Amino acid sequence: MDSKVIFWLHELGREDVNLVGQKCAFLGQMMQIGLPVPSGFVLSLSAFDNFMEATGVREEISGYLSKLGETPGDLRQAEAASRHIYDAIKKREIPQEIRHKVEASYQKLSRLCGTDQMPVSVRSSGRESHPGLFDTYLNVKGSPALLHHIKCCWASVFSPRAIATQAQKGLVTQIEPIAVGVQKMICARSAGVLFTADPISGNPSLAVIEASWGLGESVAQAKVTPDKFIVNKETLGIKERRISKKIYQVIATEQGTRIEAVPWEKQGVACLTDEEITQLVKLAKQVELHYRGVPQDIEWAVDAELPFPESVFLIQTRPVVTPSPRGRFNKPPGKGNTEHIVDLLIERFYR
Amino acid sequence: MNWAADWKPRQVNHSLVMSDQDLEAYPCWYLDEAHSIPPWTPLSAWSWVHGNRYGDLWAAESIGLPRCRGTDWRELDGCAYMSPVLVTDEEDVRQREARFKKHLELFIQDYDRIWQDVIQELTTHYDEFRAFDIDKAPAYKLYDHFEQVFNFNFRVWALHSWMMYSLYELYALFEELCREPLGIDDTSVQWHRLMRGFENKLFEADRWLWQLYRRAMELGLDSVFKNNPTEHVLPTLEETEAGKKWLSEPRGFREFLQEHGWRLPRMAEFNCKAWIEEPAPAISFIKQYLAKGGTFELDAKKKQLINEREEAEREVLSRFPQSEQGWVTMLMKAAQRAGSFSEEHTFYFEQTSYSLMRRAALACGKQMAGRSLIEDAEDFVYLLPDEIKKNIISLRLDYRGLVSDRKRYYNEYYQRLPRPALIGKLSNDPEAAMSYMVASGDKVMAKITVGRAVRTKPELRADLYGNPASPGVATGLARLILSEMDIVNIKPGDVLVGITTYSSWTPVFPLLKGIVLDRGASLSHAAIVGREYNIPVVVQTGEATSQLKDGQGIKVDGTKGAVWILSND
Repeated sequence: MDSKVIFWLHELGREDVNLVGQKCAFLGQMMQIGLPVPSGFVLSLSAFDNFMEATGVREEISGYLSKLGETPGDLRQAEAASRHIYDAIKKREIPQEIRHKVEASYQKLSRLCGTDQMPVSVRSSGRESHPGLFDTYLNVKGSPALLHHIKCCWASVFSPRAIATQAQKGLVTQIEPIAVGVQKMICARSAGVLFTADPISGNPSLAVIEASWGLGESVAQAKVTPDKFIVNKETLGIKERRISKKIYQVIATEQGTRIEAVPWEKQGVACLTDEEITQLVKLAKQVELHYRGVPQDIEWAVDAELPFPESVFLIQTRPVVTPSPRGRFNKPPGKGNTEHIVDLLIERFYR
Repeated sequence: MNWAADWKPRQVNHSLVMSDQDLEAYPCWYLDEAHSIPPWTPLSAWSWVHGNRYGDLWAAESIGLPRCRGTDWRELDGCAYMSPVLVTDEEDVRQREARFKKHLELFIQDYDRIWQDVIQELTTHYDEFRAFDIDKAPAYKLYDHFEQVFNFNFRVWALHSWMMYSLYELYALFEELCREPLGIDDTSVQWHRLMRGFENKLFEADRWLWQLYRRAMELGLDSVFKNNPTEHVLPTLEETEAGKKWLSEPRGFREFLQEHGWRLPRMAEFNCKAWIEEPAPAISFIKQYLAKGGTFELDAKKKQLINEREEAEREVLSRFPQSEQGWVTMLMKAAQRAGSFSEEHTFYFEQTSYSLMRRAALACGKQMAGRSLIEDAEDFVYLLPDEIKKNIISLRLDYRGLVSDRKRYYNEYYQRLPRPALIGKLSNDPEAAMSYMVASGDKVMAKITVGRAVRTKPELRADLYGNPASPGVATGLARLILSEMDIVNIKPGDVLVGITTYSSWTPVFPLLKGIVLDRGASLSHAAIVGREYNIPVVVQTGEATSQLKDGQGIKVDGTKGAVWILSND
């Protein structure tokens, strides 16, 4: 394995999954085909392994995990183990060589952005995509904070949920390395997700945008009901606008983020303009085309300061995870139509 | 505590008159504002609460409605109040569920046959009742007839609720499923497009009436309608050959009355003559058509509405996965039936049954008036069935004092408006009252009689907000229609403003540009018929009849659910 610790996003392509994980490899690929992705660098999977070996923390972690092997599935034990591992990681210093490289890269990124301490986002990127399983930190400022949050991302490999997932596969002690992407933070006026096919019907001729005020977290975490725009991908015509009352937004503070109330007069107003909607769908079509028509679930943000169209950024993309066939309202094969209708009725109204 | 100190009935007493105990024992009573405002005469009120109560309880039990044993009903000074009876034992709920599933499956599969069977059962009985020679019948036969007709009305209500509960569940489920993929519900334009472009039995009457107006023009009779007050039109027509032809030819006026005349001007209110006895309302509609002219709106608009509906159907279906479209189509069809059923059922259920009940009770009234036991045959509306039955064979009880007390009492409570929408323990907490209703899972209350909460949209700066029930925007003069007596005031281009509307008012819809109601929901009469006539309808405004003045210029937006006052004249 290439032992290089830091890569710049623009050096990467999707063949680099084994170096920097899926999320960052895809981001590099998008950058290569000229899509507007915020610039940044990645701490590779090797950097994780390097930290684990050099600090000796791997031994300690294996100790905690192997104990779990005796009682797999015990959530309380998993939580306790997770707590110990977090503490173990946080008290270790990052090896000097890695630290220097991170500091140098961060300074370079800040300079490129014309500032000393550029706010960045810090995201974990595994070999396999696990939406929501590993942590993301927004609006991180300065080297010390950055180094701290990199360790947090590494530690998120050992969250109780992640440990439980590994345990289900019978791989308790196997430690799956994780890369960490560091990107220029987009100070978003609005953000959200875009599906290049209707996620419910699977209809590939429609793009569905969910959007809310502020940073994207409020949509991803389902804190507000987002605005929903449905666009005909062929004609780029906006078929439907469902503007909802967006009560909360996530905003950047001095360090980190917080939730605040959306001003009353903005709550019921569409948080995207028509030209922004069209621009997003145009960009999304390029992404989808690049992934050979596999429907994509794309995170995006619209910068509060930059002029249109430079304001529209793609933050990440992954294949759409289609709802499981037994979920929601799908009829199991072989079941009668009326029986299914009646079962649904009971489930929705009487359970 | 006495919740209704001012409301205690003094002159009418039967088993379903609201008592203090009822107010204590039930969490909340909900006013049936869609039907019982203005308040009913005593016999009508008796029949409404007894009939509905029996029908609801029987049907809920028969189909095994999981969380509701039906609705209990009480009368309070001419108004009907209802309260759902919840099933609280979870084991019981599961057992009912099993029955409910079995019933609904059969109902969906066999809907057409079931509905035909119900119509068959009803018309067989009605035909028998109509064939009864009521004027020549001896007292004991009249008594028997009265008993049969009034008893059959319980069966009518049972079948009524049985059909309603079943269909409305499916309507509500389809709405629930459309919420997520499409973001629409029963206040959305797309929903209203899906639910219109359908025929029903009542439109047959409207169309026929319009044809009779066209025929009158052809026969050169327009001056008879134009130059005579309504009550002189029929006698004047009898004087000419053309007039006689119009009345007696095939598809003429008399045939129309035989088929569609069994309706009371206000549904279930006995104090007005049925059209078959007194065709003035029908004549008055024809006079109004004459003032309007043009074509029959319903047919002129129908093709477009059907096209729009089919497009909406395709669009809605495309938003469900291909693999699911079979059952979704089936469910959509069932939901669409709920609309046309809500409309045409009144022809087979309430209208005919109550016309026949009036005919039976009036015959008893005539016998009593003949013996001077009451002043006027029409005074039967102040008597309860037991009182009528007690007197009809022996004909010796002098009811004049009783009737005069009741009449005074009725005249007093008739004026007493508005009535509280909620009474009982939760009456000061409308939100809790709503959740109690929702807990019952009773969709009929939600879709017709009580309705749902209105989402106000302050950014529209409207004078009134309601729920959208039929899309479009229109301006016109507000015409306050508080009872069937006001209908003659409607001029072409008016906007009807009322508490509710009744199916017997449908012939006036071709004249209207819009409708604004205090109450109602997506399956209320005005909503269904307004959609078919493609005029904007806003329901559940709460205060249209108190905020809007007769003759005022107003703008109605049935897409957004708002009303603006344009002028204060």
